[in-house]
Amino acid sequence: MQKTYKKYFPIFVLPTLIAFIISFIIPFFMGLYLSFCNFKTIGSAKFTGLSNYLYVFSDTKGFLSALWFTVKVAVVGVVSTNVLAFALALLLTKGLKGTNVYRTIFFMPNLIGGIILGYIWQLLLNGILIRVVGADLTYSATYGYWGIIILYNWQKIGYLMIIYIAGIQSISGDILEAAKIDGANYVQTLKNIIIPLVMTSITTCTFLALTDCFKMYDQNLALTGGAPADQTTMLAMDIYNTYYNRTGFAGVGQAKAVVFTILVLVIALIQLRATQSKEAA
Amino acid sequence: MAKRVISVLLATVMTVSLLVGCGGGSGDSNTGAGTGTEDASGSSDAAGDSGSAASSDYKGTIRFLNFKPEVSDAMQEVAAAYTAETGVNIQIETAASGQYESTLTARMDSSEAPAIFVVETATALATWKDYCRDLSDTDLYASVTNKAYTYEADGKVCGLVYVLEGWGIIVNSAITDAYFASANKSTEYTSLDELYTFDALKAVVEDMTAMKDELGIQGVFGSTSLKQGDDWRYQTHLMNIPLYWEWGADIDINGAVPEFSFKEAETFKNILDLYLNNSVTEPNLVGTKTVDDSMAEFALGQCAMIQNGDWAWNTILNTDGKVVENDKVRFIPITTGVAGEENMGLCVGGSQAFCVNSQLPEEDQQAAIDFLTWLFSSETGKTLVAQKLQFVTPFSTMEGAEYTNPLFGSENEISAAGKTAYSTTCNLIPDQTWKDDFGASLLLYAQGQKSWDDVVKDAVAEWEVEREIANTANGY
Repeated sequence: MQKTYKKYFPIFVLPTLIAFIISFIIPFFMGLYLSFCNFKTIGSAKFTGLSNYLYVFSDTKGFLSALWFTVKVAVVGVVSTNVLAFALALLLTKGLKGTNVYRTIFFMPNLIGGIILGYIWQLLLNGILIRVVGADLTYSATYGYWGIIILYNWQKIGYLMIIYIAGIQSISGDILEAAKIDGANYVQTLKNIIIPLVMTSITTCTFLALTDCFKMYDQNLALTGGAPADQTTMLAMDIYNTYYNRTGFAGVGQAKAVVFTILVLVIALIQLRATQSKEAA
Repeated sequence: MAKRVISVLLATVMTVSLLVGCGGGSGDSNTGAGTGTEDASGSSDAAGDSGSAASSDYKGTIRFLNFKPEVSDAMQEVAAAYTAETGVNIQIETAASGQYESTLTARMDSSEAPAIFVVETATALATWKDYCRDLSDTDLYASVTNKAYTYEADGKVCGLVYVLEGWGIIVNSAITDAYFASANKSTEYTSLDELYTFDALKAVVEDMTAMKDELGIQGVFGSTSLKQGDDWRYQTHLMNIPLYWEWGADIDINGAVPEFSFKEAETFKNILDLYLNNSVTEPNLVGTKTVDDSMAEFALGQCAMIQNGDWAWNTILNTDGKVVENDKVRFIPITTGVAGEENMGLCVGGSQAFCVNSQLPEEDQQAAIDFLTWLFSSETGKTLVAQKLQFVTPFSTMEGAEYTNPLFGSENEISAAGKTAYSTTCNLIPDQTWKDDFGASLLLYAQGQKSWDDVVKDAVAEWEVEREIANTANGY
């Protein structure tokens, strides 16, 4: 069997591998090289060494403040989306009437693009804020922050819910029944049986939510655009702004992008390791 | 054996379909060119007769990255007219407002790089000069009436300014006339011609605000659109006035970025406060207002004045339910309270210049030049420029063209009255970062979250940083 795999490896993997190399590996290494250059377009790059990276870490106003804001969004965003999605999944696996309709409805926000969601939520939130406090989303970074959290939850919960539902449904009825016969109450069943058995789904979902939060751009752009005064600018938007808004700063933007990639990679690996160790147990 | 053949075939199909997927775009255009060849060989005699301007031998597509969103529809008409007249394909793409540099950077790296692109200021030219063809041997360059309207670098003519724009305060004179005729007014001013000092403007505007119910308006000025990306009327255009007074008329607007101390900060605050306090929208709600919102308010007669330029006419004209009458739209200058401003007129200057991409094959460049020549010197082109695009251009070939924009008439009256135009000193603002941050600062000030002193301090401090960056990048 192993031998057969080896034999057919090129036939099945090669096409995808070629596409992956062309559209991912090559651009990635080009990007890595460009982060050490001063350039406008790729054709005109001049090597400048580490100066771009030095600028990234000395510029406290741009990159580091965007990083801090992103971390804040990620912490609250990951926890809230996962808790709510899991709760919904539990609710919608109980065989309630109309379960499928609700599943579809909760999933639907995920089908709408981030830009449109951003504008819709901007209108909704401004409508409420202007009535209640007499100011709009651009007034305070706190409004923008919670706006992003609400928007992100609304968009992502349905998607994560589907993954959790699949996880919960794959739990064998025998185990649940055995627990019931042994006299376990609902909380005990949830804690000792359901959660340990959907650990794979939890790993997947936290991973998705975490990387999503770090990479968030369109929702951020459409909802707050960084207002007030770049205080709600997340990492991806800061990179974009650096790249395009100053003459000769494409290299710095590229360096930020490389730091960003490494950061997301490291966080994702740590998180994977942490949740996977629980899966094994 | 048979299985093996099938799997090899399958793999081949997959690989091929991948490649086809990637190259779809170019595949199509090749086919287009193929069929075009047959047509052209039949009609080449006719093309020979019709002269050089309309050379239909060119089989490619002229790509043009348009700078001005307000003429994007009109540009499509221009493209259709050119294709109808010469058979040459032209594809016009318009970058979103404030996104030109990013769009251009992205397109330049692609296989569909634009043949004609726009450089906004001489400061921005430095970035693109390696991509600019020398235009000094073109007919269009020969017809430029004032060589100040050409951008030069490295001893070549890189860009030709194609539109001279004027901006100031656009007034719906139907509303101001009603004010001047009203018995309830408490100022002695009787005509727009008297509003050439800030004191006069302030007195009239504040009195009009007091009488807004009688005048049927919601505010004298349209919303102060300070939403990020829509704040250019203030961080760039209004900023032109204090920059002019600080540096004087002799500053080289195509040169290095000078130092800046915001000497006229107080007068800038004068006019900004007047806009904010006499507006349709409360000052703390301007953060979500766009330029389109403000222009709609003006077109619908909800306000009497708005700061914008002659390019805004298309937007006003095409607003659904427009009530403002075409012959009631006039300009008055922006006044801020600086001594001597009564002799000043509108801000007038050329800012955007056409460049032809030198990195493309010669025939593509030539086709692009042919198109530009056609646009500004053929009868069809001239009518389109004057009435659809509504550009006042510095080209002598455009003399005698008939314009339909009522704001041009108002501009001419003001300059005929002997008023000096403000030069476009805002071209010397170092970069988009400064503009964005200054705009954000103004928004915080409007919301009452930032003191004016801090706005000024931050603007000056950041100017120094960005000036250094821009001047270094431009080799000064």
